[in-house]
Amino acid sequence: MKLKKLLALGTAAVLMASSLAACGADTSGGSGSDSQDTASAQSSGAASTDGAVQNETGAAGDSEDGGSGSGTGTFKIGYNILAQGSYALDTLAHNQEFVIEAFGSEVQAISDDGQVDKIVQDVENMIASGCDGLIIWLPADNLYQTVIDICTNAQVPFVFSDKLPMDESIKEQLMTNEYFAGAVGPANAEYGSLIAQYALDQGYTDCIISTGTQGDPTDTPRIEAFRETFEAGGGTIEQVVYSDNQDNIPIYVENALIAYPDVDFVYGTGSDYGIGACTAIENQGLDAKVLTSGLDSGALERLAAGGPLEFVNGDFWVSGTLSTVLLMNYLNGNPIKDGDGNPVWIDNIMPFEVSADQYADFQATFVDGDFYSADEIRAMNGITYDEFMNIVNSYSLEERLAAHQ
Amino acid sequence: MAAKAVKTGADQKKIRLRNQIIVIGIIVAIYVIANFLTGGKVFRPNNIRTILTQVTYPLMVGLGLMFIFTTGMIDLSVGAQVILAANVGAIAVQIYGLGYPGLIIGTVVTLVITELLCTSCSLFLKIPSWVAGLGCALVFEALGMILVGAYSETLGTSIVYLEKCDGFGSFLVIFIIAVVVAVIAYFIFNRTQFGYNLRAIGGGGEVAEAMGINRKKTIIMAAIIGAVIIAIGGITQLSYTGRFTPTSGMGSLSGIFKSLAVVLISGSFSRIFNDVIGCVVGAFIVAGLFNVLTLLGVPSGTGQDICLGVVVMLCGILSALHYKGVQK
Amino acid sequence: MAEEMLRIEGVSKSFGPTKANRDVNLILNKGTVLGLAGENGSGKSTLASMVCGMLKKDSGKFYKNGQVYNPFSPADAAKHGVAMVVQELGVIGNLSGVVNMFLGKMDKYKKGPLVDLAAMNRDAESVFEKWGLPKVPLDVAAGTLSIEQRKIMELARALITDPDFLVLDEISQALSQDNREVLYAFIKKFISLGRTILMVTHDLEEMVEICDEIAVLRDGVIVESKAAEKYSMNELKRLMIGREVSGDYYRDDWEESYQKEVILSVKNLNVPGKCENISFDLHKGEILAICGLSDAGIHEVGSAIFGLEEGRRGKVTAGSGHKEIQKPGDIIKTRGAYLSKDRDANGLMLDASIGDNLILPSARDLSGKGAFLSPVKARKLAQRASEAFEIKSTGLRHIVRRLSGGNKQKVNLSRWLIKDLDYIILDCPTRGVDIGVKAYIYSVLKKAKADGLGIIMISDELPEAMGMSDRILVMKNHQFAAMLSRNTDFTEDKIMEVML
Repeated sequence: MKLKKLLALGTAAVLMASSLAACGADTSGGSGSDSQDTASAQSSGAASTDGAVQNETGAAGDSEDGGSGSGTGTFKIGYNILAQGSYALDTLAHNQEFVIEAFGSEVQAISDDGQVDKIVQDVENMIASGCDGLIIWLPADNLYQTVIDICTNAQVPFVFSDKLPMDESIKEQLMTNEYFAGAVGPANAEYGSLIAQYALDQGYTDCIISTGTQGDPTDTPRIEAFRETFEAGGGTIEQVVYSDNQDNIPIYVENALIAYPDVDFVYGTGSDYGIGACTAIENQGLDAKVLTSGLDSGALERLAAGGPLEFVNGDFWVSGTLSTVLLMNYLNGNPIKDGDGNPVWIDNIMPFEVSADQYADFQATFVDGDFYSADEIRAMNGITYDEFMNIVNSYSLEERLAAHQ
Repeated sequence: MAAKAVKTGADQKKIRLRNQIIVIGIIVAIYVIANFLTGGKVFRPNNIRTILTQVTYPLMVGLGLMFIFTTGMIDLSVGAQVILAANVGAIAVQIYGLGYPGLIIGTVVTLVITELLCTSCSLFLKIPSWVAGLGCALVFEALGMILVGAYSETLGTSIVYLEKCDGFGSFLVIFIIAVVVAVIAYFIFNRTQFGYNLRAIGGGGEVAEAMGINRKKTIIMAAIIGAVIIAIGGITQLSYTGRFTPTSGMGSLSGIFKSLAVVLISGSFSRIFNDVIGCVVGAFIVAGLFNVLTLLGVPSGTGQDICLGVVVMLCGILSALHYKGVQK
Repeated sequence: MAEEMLRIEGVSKSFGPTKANRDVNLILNKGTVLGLAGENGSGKSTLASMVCGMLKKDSGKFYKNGQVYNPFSPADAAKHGVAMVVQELGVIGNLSGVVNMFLGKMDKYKKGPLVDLAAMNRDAESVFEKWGLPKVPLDVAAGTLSIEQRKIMELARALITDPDFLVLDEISQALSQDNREVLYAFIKKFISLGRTILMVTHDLEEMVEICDEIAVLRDGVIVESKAAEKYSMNELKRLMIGREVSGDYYRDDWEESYQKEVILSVKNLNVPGKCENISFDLHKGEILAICGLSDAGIHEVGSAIFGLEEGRRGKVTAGSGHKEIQKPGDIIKTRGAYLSKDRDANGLMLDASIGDNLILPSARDLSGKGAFLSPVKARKLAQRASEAFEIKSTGLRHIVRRLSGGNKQKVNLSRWLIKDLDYIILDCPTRGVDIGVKAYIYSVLKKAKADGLGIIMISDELPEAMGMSDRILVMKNHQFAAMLSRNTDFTEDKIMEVML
């Protein structure tokens, strides 16, 4: 009996240790929809010469240059990740980490355990742990004000990555916030309208949409834009399939395909939904195609294999890279601002398409390697607004493939 | 003797049979009406095949949960366990090329170990089972993340797709496996000494122990059998959908919510159906419900979940009709 | 010279600071029945449980048939020929009777991986036949059986292993008069085969009649052990309680005495298969007993009035306003109460504290604005009830499950009687309580009667019904058989004549 108790205690200890190990490990991954970006940009004004807010915190933040000018300091940078397990969120996180490390700084990642409401608490925790700057992923408009207040009161610089507030008043307020270093996000609506246009060009008229939970801030604009373009072009959306759990996607799509077996294609608002739709179509033995956004290897492999997946686009979550560059510049004393003194605000990074014959090159450049090298990233230190916007505008598959040749 | 106050076995069997016919009749009637409303889509061979396929996972996990829950162990870590175990199986196939043996052994052994760990935590450390289950779920979810992350071939990938050895996911095979599992579960639960011991533990642990039943051994056995059944469900589902996505923050619970609904429905029907049969009926209600509602155009995620909640409650009401809970 | 079956030598058992048994020495001979007498909490059940292997003794020894006998579980005791029907060992409600009977003993019924249910059924039937026990439906869930049926099934379960030593703890309390006769016949048959019974019962008349020897336990110590016929009833009571008990705890008057005002009226009460056309009025200050054989339906009348029985017809009204009672809540609203025979299953919250149990019926009265339940008021009420009814415990936080049967019943009864009620329905109020508590409950009921409370007392014990009631409603075959008056009709012969 004693032995059993000891064994059980040992087991509990192992479980606890592994739990702690899991908590302590770098988080990289998540679930949810993917969020894309691509080059295209708007530019306005000239480079800012304003100095950055002096770094007053920083457990590891030995700002060698004293926080002015455009030197390189060592900072502790925190970012949140909604949850692990999604290629999209994992890649976004990876892109952010790559930039932080290229700048020689330290990473503090924190998982929101899949709960959007927990992000506020996580932001507070990152600040409490001594982060010098924060990269925030926030998919809920109602939480922006709270998070902005927390960072401002704590005098911790921050950027918004991938998700941007839609409320104009928040945007206006951020433009004058001295701790706000900028925001970069994809043109979500464009994702939907581009795919709708592609479908119309192929002569497709009927479809099913496969997506995540209702009201998702990434998927909703995509669906709305898709609907607008597709229906205007004479197309019909037979059903929108919402999946609460990624493993249920093929099951739910399969049910919808039984109701509408003659659809031309399934639009997966993210690669998870696209891949799930492929499985469903194969299970049903139908000829329907899948069009999706999300440049993950699972989707691209299916594209290359020639199954139902016909079209994939995305921006490979470059928002993470670019927003982090903004933050690092800010911390190094070079806040990037336009001619009016406004921080960078980009919400329209356009996706690019990857075709089957581009897959090998894409994989080598984006999936197996880093699409911006560490040297390229470091060269972004101290750049001007125009230079930054030039990088954003020139970002595309072809540009990156050429840079790596 | 007060025999009159209690209905005889024959009377009770008659009433049960009548109620069973009513319930099955209602379910069939709903399917027929749904078929009419969808213009005959429900009874198309293609859809019947789909329903029979989609029944399998909630059924097998529900049966496994039934074994575990009957002992009084409310283990909510099963969702996390099945994700972890299925990914071990997928890694064995995809990364190490171990084929079907790797898939089966990897999944079954992992699930048995995780379930035993969780059960032991509750049993030997005297932690309430739901507390142990929630704690273990977080740990198993994290382990799943770490494991899958470690085997990712590209940056950020946290999914291992089963692209080989997916024969258990094809229609007839998956259904036959589920039928065989249900039949075996029925006999274990209802016709074996272990089954009686298990139900005795569930009905009154102290009394059962006094009757010479080894409570801990029975609970451990139930955990192993439940885990094996769930693992079989996990293997077939992995073969069918091609992946199990690791989650965190108790996201794994949503992966077994249909199976939990199956167990709930089975419990609601406990006065009408045997528990195993109740799970089969429940699985057909749950899987069929989602299928039919999709065919009817009811939005998934919201409308369908509302319908499932209502159905679970209706089953409870139907089962409790004319029962006032008088014990003498 | 009688041959020895079981010898108990210097056995002691403690639960924390409480010494349940101290240096108990007893010899039980073959072909005899030894009765254990004692108040609730005197250590009878503890001693019986140790003999059965349900509890481990702290010190001392058991010898069975001259060999050291040290059972570590009931199953182990069964291997040594010891079986039991004890208070703590109930049935598992979700399993059928036959499965209950063979739990832990199914090895010989294994057919490959499966169990041969048909063979188990056959063997179960043969046990009932062999010992002349009344048939109980074994193919239904045991939870649906009546208490009486369950007890008989438990007895049959104990006999499955063909024991030579049987412990019967409070079995007869659950049985009605006719089935007690069956039990007594069984006991005679059992001991006639040279086997032994250790019997625990609160019914002292029964004990003296059935047992060959009686050992009296008080505070865990054997204070006397001798042949049953050598005890006088008063001596037995005195030994149990440790002081003289006045001869009779029942009423000493022989007249119907109650007020004219009707506080509960039952008209043509019908529950299919359980009771038919029962009508009566209960008056203020009246104790109306309801008696009958086991299948007469007396218990169902109580639960039907309360509104628990399915398919009830007829009319039950309460008070001068003739408010109709259709569901349990109506009883509460009309200042009434109902106490089930099965207090553990249907009365008490066993795992809650005494305090919580005591305040529950009065929670509404104690609640102030916003449904706030004042902890001060609640504690005061619980304290008052506990003190008034002399509940023996470590305090109001004591968990009810850990109380003796008598104290449980005190909790059950006191929480209602402390309220200002008009009427109360008591189903077997003294079931499973010792003579001291019994006397106390009767004194409380007498006082309540004097205060104008109307009491329906459903009882399996004729002496109790005759001793306490003004009138006795006798039921036979689920129907009204007679209404007997305290003035003229209260003789056991007369009542039995109507019952049979």
